[in-house]
Amino acid sequence: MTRRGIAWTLGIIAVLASVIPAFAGVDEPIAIHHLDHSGLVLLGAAAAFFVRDPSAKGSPASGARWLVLTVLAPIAMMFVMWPSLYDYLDAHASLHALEHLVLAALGYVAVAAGERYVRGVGATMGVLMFVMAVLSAAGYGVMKP
Amino acid sequence: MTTTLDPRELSAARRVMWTYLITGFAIFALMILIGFSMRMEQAGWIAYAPQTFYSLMTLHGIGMITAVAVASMGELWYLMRLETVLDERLAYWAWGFIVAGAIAVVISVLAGQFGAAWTFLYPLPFVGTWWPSWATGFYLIGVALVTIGWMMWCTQMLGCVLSRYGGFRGALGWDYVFHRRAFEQSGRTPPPPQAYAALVAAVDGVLTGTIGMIIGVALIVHWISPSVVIDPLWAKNLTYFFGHAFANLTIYMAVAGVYVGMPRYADREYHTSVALAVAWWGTLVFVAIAYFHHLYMDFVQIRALQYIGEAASYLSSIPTALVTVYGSLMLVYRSRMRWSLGSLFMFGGLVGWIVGGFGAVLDATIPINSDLHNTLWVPAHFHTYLLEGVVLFVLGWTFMMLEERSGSISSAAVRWLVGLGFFGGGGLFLLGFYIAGAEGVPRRYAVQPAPGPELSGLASVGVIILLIALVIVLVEAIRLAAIARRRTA
Repeated sequence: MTRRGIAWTLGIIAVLASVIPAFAGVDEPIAIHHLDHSGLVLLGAAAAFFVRDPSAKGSPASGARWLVLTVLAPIAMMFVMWPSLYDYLDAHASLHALEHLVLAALGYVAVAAGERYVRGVGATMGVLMFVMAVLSAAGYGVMKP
Repeated sequence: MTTTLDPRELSAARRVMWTYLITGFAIFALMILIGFSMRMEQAGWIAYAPQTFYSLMTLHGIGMITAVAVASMGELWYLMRLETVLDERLAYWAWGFIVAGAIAVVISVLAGQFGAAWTFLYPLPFVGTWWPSWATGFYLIGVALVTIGWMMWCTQMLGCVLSRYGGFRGALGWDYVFHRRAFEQSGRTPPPPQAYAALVAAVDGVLTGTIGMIIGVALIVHWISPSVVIDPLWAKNLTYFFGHAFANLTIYMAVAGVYVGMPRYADREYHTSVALAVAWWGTLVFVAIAYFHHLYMDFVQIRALQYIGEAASYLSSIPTALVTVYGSLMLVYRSRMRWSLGSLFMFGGLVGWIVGGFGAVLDATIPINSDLHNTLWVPAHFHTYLLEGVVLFVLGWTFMMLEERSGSISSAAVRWLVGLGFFGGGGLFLLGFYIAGAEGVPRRYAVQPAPGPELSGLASVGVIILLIALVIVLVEAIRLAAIARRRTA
């Protein structure tokens, strides 16, 4: 399978993994929810990794906007994973699916933009974004008020 | 091989460097006055409400760390710009985010009286506060802006080392270490010493920024939506990972200037060696995992992490002491060293690094930490490390630039005065912390038990001497800059 084929496959899995659970109406603890999100982010990030042109190296001499995108995407992800909204989103399947798609898209944007800036930067940011989502499961809004 | 810059490029690169350096020194000057007022208050020379003390302590802590970080970032950015082309706009954006964040923090503290200490340890910013909620928000958003600026700078550095030296493998010098003969036969050269500082700042910096963003966003979300409850132990781990590594990286960034500056003063070469490369690999790891020593008193922390913290604290001193400091001493030994303010600052910074590092390792030893934890021993070692380490390295680099461009150095009398002020006054100031710490005087208290007030008085005298030296340094810097300007006009 070509890199682009792998990227498409991952992208389709990301969309399905975003939509199906949202409409399945499964009630999960917030920590598990964060972990689900880390998987979506990873799928989006992996799709971006495979869609990049492996011969393109990028340069720190230009591409400022790509760097800004790769830095801001993880912050946006943290805000999208707003724990007190989870109950509301569980009751609104379409919005829930949209939230999942946004998370996968942010993973994609961080890696694609970082790789466009300089090869290796995007992959690093993708891994870190996944780590952020996983770490969130250990303490971000997971305790009872 | 260093990139040759045309005069316009060199001028643009220097503008970035001076923007960062001057910003760092300006914040440093303001913060040293605030710190002085705190020591005078503890000595009973002046009086203000405890709440004011804790607010100023918060500002002093975060301000000083930001000041030395910004100055070090400017120095390292310039050194790496000499290695490869970097986009100046990004450096200015990063600077803009940091300055905007610093302004938000200043407003939160001076107008809002925010006073939960610079570590903003959850749940302190939200519980038992005497400041309004908006001040907490301003503070947290300010720190988040600084973190975004830091992330942008570190990501640019990451891009720089990856593209310049051929990915992580090249930037680490992997082939140079493990396949040296083939590496050298291919005509390649390893990254220069300052590139290792850039690599560590980039990788650990991005990691630090990531952790900072997790806890930063979590706290902002809790501020907006208090029903989002955060696990306190989780928050403490993330906060100290961020704070410890960020503070540590300031010196690893600043030491890049020593790698470049000391050989010029000693008229000798300083090349990358296998020992230096491996030492920096160690630093890359130890900076990230030594923070566990901040959580020795947290009985709910996983026990194995406490031992990792102690081991990493000890191990982190080996690359510093054996490679950078010993290597620099060998550079000076029997050389025709030119002693000027620049070289004195750099050499003095190495001394301060070792002394402060020794105090830190002592405190990171679990049985000793049982006695020294949260005493004034803690500010003793980090003030040594920052004031007599990072600040001196950055001043050394600044004066080296000024001396080279002006073709002039300071007189022997000025060098003696500054040396006495920095090491005499600075030493007296630090001794106040060390002795009080050893006597068990707690830190972060506006009102101290004996012998705290007496030692605070002694420390205040030290600060006065230090301030005189700093004024002389400022006058000298202006004088050399004026000569340099006349020469280039």
